[in-house]
Amino acid sequence: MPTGFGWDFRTQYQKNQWEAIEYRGRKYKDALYEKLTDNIARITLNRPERRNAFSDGLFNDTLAGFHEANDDPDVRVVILRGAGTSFGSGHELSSPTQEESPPINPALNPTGVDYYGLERRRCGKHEDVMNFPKIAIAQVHGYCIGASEIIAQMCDFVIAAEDAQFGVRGFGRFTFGIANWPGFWPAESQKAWGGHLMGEISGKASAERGLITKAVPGDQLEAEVMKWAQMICKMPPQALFFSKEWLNGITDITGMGTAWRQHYAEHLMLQYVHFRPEEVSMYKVRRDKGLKGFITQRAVEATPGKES
Amino acid sequence: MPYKTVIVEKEGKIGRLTLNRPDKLNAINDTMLREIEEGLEELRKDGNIWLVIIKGAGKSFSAGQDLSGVDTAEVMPPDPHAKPYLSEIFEGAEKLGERLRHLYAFPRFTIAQVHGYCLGLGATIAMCCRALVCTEDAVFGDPSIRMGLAVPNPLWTWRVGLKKTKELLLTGRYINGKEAEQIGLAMAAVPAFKLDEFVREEAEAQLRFGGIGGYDMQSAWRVAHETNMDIAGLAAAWRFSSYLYGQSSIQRPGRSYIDRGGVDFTKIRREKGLKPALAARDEPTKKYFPAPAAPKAS
Repeated sequence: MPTGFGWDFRTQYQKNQWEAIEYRGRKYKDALYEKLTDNIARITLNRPERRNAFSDGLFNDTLAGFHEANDDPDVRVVILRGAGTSFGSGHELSSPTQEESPPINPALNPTGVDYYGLERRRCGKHEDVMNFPKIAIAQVHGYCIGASEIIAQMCDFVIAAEDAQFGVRGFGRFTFGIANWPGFWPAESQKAWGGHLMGEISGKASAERGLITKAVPGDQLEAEVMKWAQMICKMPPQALFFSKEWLNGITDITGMGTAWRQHYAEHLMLQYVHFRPEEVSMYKVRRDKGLKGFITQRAVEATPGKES
Repeated sequence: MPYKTVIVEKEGKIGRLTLNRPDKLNAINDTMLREIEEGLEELRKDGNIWLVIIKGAGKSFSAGQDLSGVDTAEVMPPDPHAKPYLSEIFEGAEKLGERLRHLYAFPRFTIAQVHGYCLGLGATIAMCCRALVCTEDAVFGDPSIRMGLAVPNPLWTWRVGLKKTKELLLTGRYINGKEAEQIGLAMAAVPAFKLDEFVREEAEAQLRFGGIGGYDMQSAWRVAHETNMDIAGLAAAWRFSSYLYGQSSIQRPGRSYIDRGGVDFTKIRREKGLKPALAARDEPTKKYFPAPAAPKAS
């Protein structure tokens, strides 16, 4: 087991899911892995027809890419980007019920313990990106919604097109419970709302509020990300690793680890909510009108002030 | 329930609590703090109320704690000239801190709709709401330091960071709504004529999509959020800021701030009245930290 920094033995900090996902001889399909230079690897989320919604296949290929980048001692930086029009549209809501990427189908009627375990596994994949021992840069264009925004925020740097669109649909971006990712941590500054309770926010506005690293015009995005990646490559990799571990560590001290556990429990609560009769809930819309009706109505209503 | 200093209204799923002493810029006295709590409790008990907006009647949200010395035993520390015992000072400070923390923990979604002055305890109450929306010309700040008092509100550092908190609380400097938005104190600052409509739209968006099971998820997730904030230090911070607020109000004759050139607020108030006392508080720093333009009457 390579440490990723030139030695070949198992180390303690590799306790994650990508470790178990084999990349040797892998035919990448839902996500692509490539080396741009000796030191820079790039993972491209590659389900453009689904706006890179996370299915199990996409998650597996992505994590295999992180695994491969980790094991390659030359790689210092991983760039994560999306193919097609968008970085990503979150979890694949039309996955088969057996998949673990979308919110679990209540019809499966899991016990609380089953479901908590599944959530822990599911969200653990996001944590693994945060704990990745090398530097990760998210290159965001187009939509970056829900789980995709979380994955992007897990990266050490988020560089976005000015007209990229961040947001979380169905809850509002800063709603308690889903705010526990590092870009918002510790989730009290009112900046994190992005100006509207239920609004979505552009790359430019995100950068102005300090929620992401930088926003540039779309046509300069790739060059800007490469510039950052090359800058990082000039830094001593061990110092990068220890600095990242230190920063993540002090975030843990302030309760990030507990926030993750609460995040699983919060997903769990969703299973036990009773809808109120007079409620206009997008969950109820999904239940009553099906996935397509749900997405159509949600798209109409995503902007505050717009009436359905 | 009849209230003297607040107005409680219900409109659909929205509850409104209006601070209502407009002739006193909604200065908060004991009665008002108690009625804020009672009004919120009345709204909380009504399961049809999913969201609460807190705002001020008249020209301002609130100019802060009532400094007149009448009906202020709970919102102000004891007058140092009355030679209070330490137990009175610290028990009073702790009680106030616990009541403020209780407002922060209110289990429905709350929006502070701020216009005009939002100072001192008024700013604290606005910050205890989950979202704060203000007019661009609203005025925020906490002048407690100028009368020798610390601030019993630990949310400042979480909202705007250590540097800005020091800049504001160690000088008593006031900022306008625009700057409040820039530093993360307010979610949004809008022109005064848009405030009502903006808050209503946000509240309606929140009601349509921000709740699952009505307010059930919000209510449950708040517990998680508060747990995180408490691990991050907020639980201790509430206690610590109450403690140092109490500490700052110990003014022993002959060996404390008020006898060493500081502003003896209660003495000036007793001898000359409230206005000269306020002037004595603000004059010395006026040239260094001029207040932003007074907000226009809406």
